[in-house]
Amino acid sequence: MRLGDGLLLAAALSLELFFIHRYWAGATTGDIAVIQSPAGSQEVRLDRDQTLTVMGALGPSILEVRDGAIGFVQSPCSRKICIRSGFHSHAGATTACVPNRISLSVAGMREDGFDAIHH
Amino acid sequence: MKKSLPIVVLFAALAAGLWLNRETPTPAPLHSYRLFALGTLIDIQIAGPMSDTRYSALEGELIPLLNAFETRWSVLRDGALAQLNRQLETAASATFADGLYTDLRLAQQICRNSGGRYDPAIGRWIALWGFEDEEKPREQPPTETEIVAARAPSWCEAELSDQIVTLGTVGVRLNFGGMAKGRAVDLLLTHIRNAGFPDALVNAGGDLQVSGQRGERAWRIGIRDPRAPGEQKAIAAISLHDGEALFSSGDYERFFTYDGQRYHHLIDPHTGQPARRAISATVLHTDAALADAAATALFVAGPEDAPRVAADLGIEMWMVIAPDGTPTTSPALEQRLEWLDTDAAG
Repeated sequence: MRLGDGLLLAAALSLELFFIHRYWAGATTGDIAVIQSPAGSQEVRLDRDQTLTVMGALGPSILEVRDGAIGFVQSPCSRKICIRSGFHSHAGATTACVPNRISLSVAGMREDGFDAIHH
Repeated sequence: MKKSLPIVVLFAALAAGLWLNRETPTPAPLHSYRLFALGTLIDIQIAGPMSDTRYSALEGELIPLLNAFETRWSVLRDGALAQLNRQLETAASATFADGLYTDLRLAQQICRNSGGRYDPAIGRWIALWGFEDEEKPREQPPTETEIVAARAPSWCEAELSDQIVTLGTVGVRLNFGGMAKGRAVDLLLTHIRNAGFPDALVNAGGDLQVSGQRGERAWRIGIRDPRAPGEQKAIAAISLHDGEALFSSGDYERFFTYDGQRYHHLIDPHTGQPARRAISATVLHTDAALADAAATALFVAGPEDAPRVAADLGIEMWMVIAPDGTPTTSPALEQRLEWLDTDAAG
C-alpha cells in the first residue's frame, strides 16, 4: 500500500468516526426527571443519587434517585401503585401517585418513538 | 482496481456517514399538560405552534371543564349523579339533571347490546368490593351473603324518560366509571380542537384518543403488556388516525390480593364477582365513551363470547387477552397492529 492510499484510508476512517459520533450524540438520553406536585414543577438530575421529599395533597411522598433511575419509595396513598411501578430511567417513562397529586416523568422523547403507551 | 480501492472506501464512508446523519422530518412542537382527575393522571399533548399566553389560557379552560365533568359524574362529590343516587336510595323512581340524559341512554344501549355485561347499576357491588373510593380499599372479598344482598335490577331494564328514571326497586346505586373516562377524554379533545388546535392526544391513565396527527405522521401508540404493568415495554404498536380512541379494561388496574387470589375492579354484572374470563380487553373506535364501556363488556365476555358481543355493540376493532396470555384479535384490528413481541402474537 502506498503512502497516499494509507492517507486516504485514514481520512475515510476519521470521517466515519466523526459521523458516528455525531449520530450518537444526537440520541435522546433520560438524564432529567420532571416532578409535578401541587406546589408546581421541579427538574431533578438523574446522575446524582439523592432522596427527595415532595409535598402532595395527602402529605409527603418520598422519591429516590438511584443509579440513574427515579422512583417513589414512600407515599401516603393506600394502594401504593406508584411504589409498585418501580424505578424509571428511560426517556418518556411516567408514573404518578394519583391520590397525592404527584407525577414524575423522565424528560426527553421516548427511545421507542411512541407518543404514548396504551394500557 | 487495487489503486481505486481507497477511493471507493472513502466514498463509501462518506455515503454511510451522510445517511446516518440524514435530515429527518422535524417533529412538530409539542405542548403538554398534566392534570389529575377521574382518579387518574390525564396527559394532554398538543402538536403545533402555540404562544405562552395561549398555553396558559387553554390550561385555564381545561381544568374547570374537567372539574365540572368530574363533579357531575362522581359518586363521591355532590354533583348530578350523586344527587340521583341519593334519591334512588329511598325511591325506585327519581328525577335527574339536564345534561345526563344522552349518556344515561347511551349506557342503556350498551347495556342491552352487550347482554348486560356493561351495567352501570352495579354501583352497590363496586362499593361493596371497595372499588368506589380509592382511599377505602378492601383487604378481603365480601361474603356471598353480602353480594346477594347488594344485587340490583339491571340498567338494561330501567325506564328512562327525559328527566325521570324508574328502576324495579329502591336502593340502586349507579356508577358510570366504566364509561365516564371515555366521555371526559372526548370532551377535552373536542374543546382543544374547537380552541384551534386540531392535532392533539389526550391520554387518561393509558386510555386515549387523538385528533389530527403528530406533525407529518400519525400518532404512534405502544400497547403495554398487561402482565408487566411496572414496565413501559410495549407488545404491539399502532398508528391512530383522526378521532380514534383506544380504550382497555384490565384486571391489573385496580385490585387487591387475598389468599393468593387477585380480586379486581371489573365486576361481572351477572354474578357480582370479578370477571375471570380475561385479563385485558381493548377496543378501538371513534366514540371514546362507547370504546370505554365496550372494553368493559368484552372483558366480562372473555375471548369466546367477544366476537358476538363486539358485533352486537357495533365494534369492529377489538382484542381480548385470555388469562393464559393468549390474545384473540378481531381481523380489522389485527390488520392495524404491529406485534413487537412474537410470543404474544396469536
